[in-house]
Amino acid sequence: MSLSLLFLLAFPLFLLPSLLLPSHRLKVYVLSSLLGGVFVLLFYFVDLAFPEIGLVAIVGQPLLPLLSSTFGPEQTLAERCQVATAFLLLFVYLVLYLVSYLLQKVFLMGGNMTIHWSGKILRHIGFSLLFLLLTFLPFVLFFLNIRILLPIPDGFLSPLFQFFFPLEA
Amino acid sequence: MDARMKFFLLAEMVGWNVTPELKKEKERLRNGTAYRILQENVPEARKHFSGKAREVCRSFEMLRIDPKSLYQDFITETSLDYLALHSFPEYYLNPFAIDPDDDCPLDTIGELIVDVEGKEFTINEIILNQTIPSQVKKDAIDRKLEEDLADMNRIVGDSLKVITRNQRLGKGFGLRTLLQVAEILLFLTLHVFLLVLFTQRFEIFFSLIASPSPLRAMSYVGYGYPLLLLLYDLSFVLFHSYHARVREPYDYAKRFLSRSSESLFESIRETKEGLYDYLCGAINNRIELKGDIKDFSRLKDSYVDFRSVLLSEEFKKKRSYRLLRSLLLTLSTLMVLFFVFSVVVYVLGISLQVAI
Repeated sequence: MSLSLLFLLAFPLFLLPSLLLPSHRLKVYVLSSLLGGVFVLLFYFVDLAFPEIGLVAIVGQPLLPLLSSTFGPEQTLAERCQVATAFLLLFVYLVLYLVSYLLQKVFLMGGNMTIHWSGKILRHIGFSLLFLLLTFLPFVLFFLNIRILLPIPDGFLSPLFQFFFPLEA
Repeated sequence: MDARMKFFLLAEMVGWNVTPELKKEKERLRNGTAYRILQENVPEARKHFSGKAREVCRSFEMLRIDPKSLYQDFITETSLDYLALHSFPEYYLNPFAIDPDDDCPLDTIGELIVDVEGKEFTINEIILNQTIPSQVKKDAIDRKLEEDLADMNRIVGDSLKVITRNQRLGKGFGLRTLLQVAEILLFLTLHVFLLVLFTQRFEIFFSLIASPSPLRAMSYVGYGYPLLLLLYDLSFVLFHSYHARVREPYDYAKRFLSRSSESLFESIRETKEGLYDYLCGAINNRIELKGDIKDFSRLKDSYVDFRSVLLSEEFKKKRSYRLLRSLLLTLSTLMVLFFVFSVVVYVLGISLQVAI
């Protein structure tokens, strides 16, 4: 088992709902994950594009005492901040998801799926892609950033992982 | 009733024993044209939601061809003949309640039967008839459409009742909500435990993942738990996606009806007025109707799929639904058992610092 294999095995768990769910339900999940997903993706994009800001270190450092039991002596401060930030972003994502989901459950009615119009398939494909972008991608990013804790190797996608989120060890 | 039967009926009334004739009559009714027509027509009527279709089905189910006397036999035969005649779609179809996705036995609204001054005509016959005054035709059609409108309102009302009853059951007992919450909690707990297993620093456990030993329970936890969890996740995702897909028309109807039922009734009335204008136009211009049987249907439209609401529990009988549900339940049970086993092994291992 490796991290690359884990991502491959987990991908169908996100792909199947994106294909099978009805339009309204898919739209609800996409909109629920929109805020959290955009926040997480934007965070990592800014951190990758502007490493001199040190966003991960700024966010992760105050949280290190909470996760002290998970770290070993071989992990550097930067790696620990990376892990701490990943957990914080996971928490933020889940909270934003839950709040958005509850709001939509109350207010969003959706359209009638028995009405057929020509753009329906295209719209479903669009929402499916968005769903994968806003759920599977944050899932991958989370595990990439905590992989120093995991007892499994990176696998065949290791060069790609190292390119985006290098480990100092 | 022929002369021979009239004779035996009179004979029965004066006290003669007519048992042999009664037996023959029972057989005649069972093998008669009217009963055969009903056996062919009632299955088709069962597919439709109109009040008259339901009445035909209900009357057929209550029918007992077991007369105890020739007098009862006479009444039964008359009922059979009447029911057989009205079991044809021309009599029971409601133009507002036709399923647009199913094959309809009629092609046009013009084939529907309307009572005009005590006589039955099809709408096309009324349109082309030159002896009946125009206003009489329109009044007769308006009466029929009002009946059909009332019937459609009943279907909407029944849909509302189904939704209200399901909601009330949900609030009253809370069992369904409890089960849903329990399922979500189980899902979260299983995944949080997986995260804890693989992120908490426990060198003994990590070493058994790197070099598994068949003699150590922790090896089975390290490999078995994620594998079983993956299967569980797959079945969870498949079942709930399928469930959401088949239930969506009902869920949409529930959302819509709970907010906008009044506008729906108004809209159905507007459809009735539209159909009336359409038929009046045909009457005025003597145009025979063709191919329009589904044009005014409101059973599945921009608002609500009433068919799905009224048959909201039918999807649970589908084989694929039952299969996926069984798979999910089986894997959930296995997962719970393995989770308990894993927690015990892990907690023991971490507290005693041994490879269990």
